Amino acid sequence: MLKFKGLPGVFGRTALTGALLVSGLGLVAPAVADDTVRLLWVQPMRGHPVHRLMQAGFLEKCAELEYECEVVGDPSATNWDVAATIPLAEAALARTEYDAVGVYGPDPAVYSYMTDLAGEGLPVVTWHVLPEEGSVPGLAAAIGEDISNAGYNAAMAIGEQLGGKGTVALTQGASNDTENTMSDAFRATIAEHFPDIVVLPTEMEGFDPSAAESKAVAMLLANPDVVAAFGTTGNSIQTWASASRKADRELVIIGMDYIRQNLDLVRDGEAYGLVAQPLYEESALVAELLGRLAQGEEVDYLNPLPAPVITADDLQPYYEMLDRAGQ
Amino acid sequence: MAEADGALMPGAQSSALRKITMRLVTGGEVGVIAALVLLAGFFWMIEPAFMSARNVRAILNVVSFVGIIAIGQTVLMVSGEFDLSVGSVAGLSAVVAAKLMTALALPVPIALLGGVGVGLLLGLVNGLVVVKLGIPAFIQTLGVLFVGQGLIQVVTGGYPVYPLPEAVTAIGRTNLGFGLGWSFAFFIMALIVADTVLRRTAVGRNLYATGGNKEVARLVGINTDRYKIASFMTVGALAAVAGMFVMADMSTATTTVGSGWELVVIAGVVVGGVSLFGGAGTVVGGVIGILLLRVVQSGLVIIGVDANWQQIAVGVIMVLAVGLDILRRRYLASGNAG
Repeated sequence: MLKFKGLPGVFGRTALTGALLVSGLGLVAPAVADDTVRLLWVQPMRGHPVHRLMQAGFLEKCAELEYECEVVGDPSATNWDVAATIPLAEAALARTEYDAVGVYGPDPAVYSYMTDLAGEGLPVVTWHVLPEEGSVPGLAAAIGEDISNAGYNAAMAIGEQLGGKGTVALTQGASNDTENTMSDAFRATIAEHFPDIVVLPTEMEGFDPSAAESKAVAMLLANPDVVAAFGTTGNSIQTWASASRKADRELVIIGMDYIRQNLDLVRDGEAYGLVAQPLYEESALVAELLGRLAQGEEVDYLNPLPAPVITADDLQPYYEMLDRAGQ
Repeated sequence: MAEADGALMPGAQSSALRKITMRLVTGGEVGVIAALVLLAGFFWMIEPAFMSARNVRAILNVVSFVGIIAIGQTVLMVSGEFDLSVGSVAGLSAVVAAKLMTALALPVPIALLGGVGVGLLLGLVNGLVVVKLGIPAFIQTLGVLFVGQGLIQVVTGGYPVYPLPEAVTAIGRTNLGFGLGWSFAFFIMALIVADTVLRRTAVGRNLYATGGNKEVARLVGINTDRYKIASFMTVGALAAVAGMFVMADMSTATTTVGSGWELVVIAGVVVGGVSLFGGAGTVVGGVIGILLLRVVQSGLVIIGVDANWQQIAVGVIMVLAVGLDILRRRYLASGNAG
């Protein structure tokens, strides 16, 4: 044990205890194998459940392809902080010589970082958004759904279920590029194809489940003619299913994302359907494209994936995907 | 003091050395500096890349953003108040400046001044409400936090302001040395100025007096209201500057600039020895606290701690760092230092 002369013994014990505590927390030393492909995934708000699903898709594909992969990002589940994420990515890059990097792209704040990484010779891929080719210098590929198309699909599904009449509540998790675009597309589609359907002004439900549910209940109480709800964030389907139960109202509910809780709600009839954003598939494709780029291959820049609305009859393949991912 | 031929006698030399040592040990920042050095050394021993240029540069860069705010927060906390709205102020200032230079096409310097103006104004509002109306700073600044978040959405319509004029990108991309830019230079200058003011000027002494015991300070003739309001305005302005530096660094003003910074800043300065109750702490200590937290976060990544354990480890290390300092102070207070 180290001695700290002239200072109380508890000082040394406390310091060493702290050091041992940290050192006991599952240190992973990266393997050193020269021909191993090493990929880094950079994602703010790393702890969000939907982001966790994406990470599972990426890591599962990495395991299948025998790549060494790491996920870094600000660990919050509710707070988007690009400035805090970048130093964590830099720490990983300082430690390990990565062959390619995936940077989560639904925020132009990360574009300059993507360009910086590309400037170092690292192939960079983004997912979940499809920036126009050339708009982000150095970005080699983009994978994702057409967000407007996802909003269109949700609108058509709700419109047809309602028979072209009724009032729809619309919520977002927060005001951001992705959700705003989806909401805008939803409204525009309803206005064009179902002119007799009224869409209420968008409310921000946030990411705290209990607060979101309260807001949804308030919307239902304030608008007795609401017969359907669409939410653009991963928790929306739970928000509205819960609110409809508490307010004792039958609603046609469409939400987002095939995490297990959401699939269960559709299976059990508490919601009509959800927009199956290709979270898992796009993330797996990130691993695949990064690996190919790392090995000198060329890939297409644009890699769009479908985002259909799935209902109770369509759930089985998604459950299987989650089972494989251990989610 | 025993002297012979102009030189100190051995006994006197030992006494002088002891005095210097005690001054170092009893200095307010010693505990947190010791924790920082220990942790940095630990991470470096396990993974030498921790001290690589890339990692050090990334840490210093992000510390410069929140560090600028921490300087202001320290000054405010020394005066006996704190500000939870700093993150929102940073974000609102950034998007207002961005809109001024894009939608209104104002020259970039004018737009940036507009952003600082937003920070000063919100700081003034906070100060007046807290000091003149007596509303607790916790409530007032929490309210401004929410108001600020809402105003960010109102100003931007929910969309990031992008692209920005080339001049802003140039500010963010400037390399003054070691890959660090204007944000770091401003941070160092603000640190030196604030530390000098707090330690060596009557203004600084009056701030400590205001935070230490407001009534006594008032009775001896210190205009405590003015000092507090000025402190709120200072942190507001510095938050605005920090927000705009982030905007320049990323060449975009997003709606999430500054999101969550309030807790990061307060946690950091408290770890650095600044008292939540006022009257104690230094700017250097506050900034070192911020650095400590960032070192921990980067260090845990670099040594490969499992991602699920990183936040737990950050919390534990925070408590240990403050604990070390408290133990040191108790040891000194018990008279063992004498």
